[in-house]
Amino acid sequence: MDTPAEQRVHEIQRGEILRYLAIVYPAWATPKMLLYHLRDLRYPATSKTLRFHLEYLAGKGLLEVQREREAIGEEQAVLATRITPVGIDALDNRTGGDLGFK
Amino acid sequence: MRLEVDLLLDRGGRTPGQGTLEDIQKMLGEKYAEALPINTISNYKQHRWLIEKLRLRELKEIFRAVKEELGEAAISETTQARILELLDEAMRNGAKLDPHFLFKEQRLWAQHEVKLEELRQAKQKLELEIEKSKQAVEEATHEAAQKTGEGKSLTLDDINRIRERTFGLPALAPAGPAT
Repeated sequence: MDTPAEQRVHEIQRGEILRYLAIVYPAWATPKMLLYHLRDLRYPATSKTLRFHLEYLAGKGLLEVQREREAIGEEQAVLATRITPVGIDALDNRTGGDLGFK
Repeated sequence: MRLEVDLLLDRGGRTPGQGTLEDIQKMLGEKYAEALPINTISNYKQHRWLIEKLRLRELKEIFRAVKEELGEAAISETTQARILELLDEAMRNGAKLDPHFLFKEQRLWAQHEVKLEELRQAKQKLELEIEKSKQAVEEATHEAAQKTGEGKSLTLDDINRIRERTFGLPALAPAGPAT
């Protein structure tokens, strides 16, 4: 279970991911680029955490992901990701409610 | 509290009334009943997003130029992302990316490749010709050997045939009687 401080950091990381993707939109970014970006902003994340964030944000429809081809017994790695128009709206505070990022 | 300051700075004026340092100071004062001296917030933190934003915009511009240069060639989204990743990495490593310089170099490279291919083909052509000549020499000498083997002597016609067919040399004229 994450502490409130950790939760806060995760929310910030998700916000940073969206901001980064919004700037490079409509281009796609790779997870590696996002990891470097978070590290540069002093909010470093592990690949596992990043994957969690990407799945979480994709689940909310804020970003879309390109996955590796499915293989039996293997997790489908995220190859590239891009913010959706819904994500941009959320980032610009045009949608109400708590979206789970800061 | 530091985290809160980071967060407010990262918003960077996105939310009205939360962007400036004075706003942040006021908000923190109300929340934590503590005055945060503005000068403790480093310049780096104040400007880090701006620098990053400018860098990303530049990256996007370079990527756009690369895409334009690639034309309507169908490149998958994953490949596009990989290209962007490579450009991003190069920029992070301090490379000054000028797409036009890059394309010029690529064109030069392509020209060299074409020239190399031409030379390769010319070499193959020469090798074929050498092979053909070898075969002709082989045939002519074999024919001559056969004739002499049968006890016949080589005539001037035989020699001329070998000269012409094998080496493309002009026929010899019969020598006059020795004086």
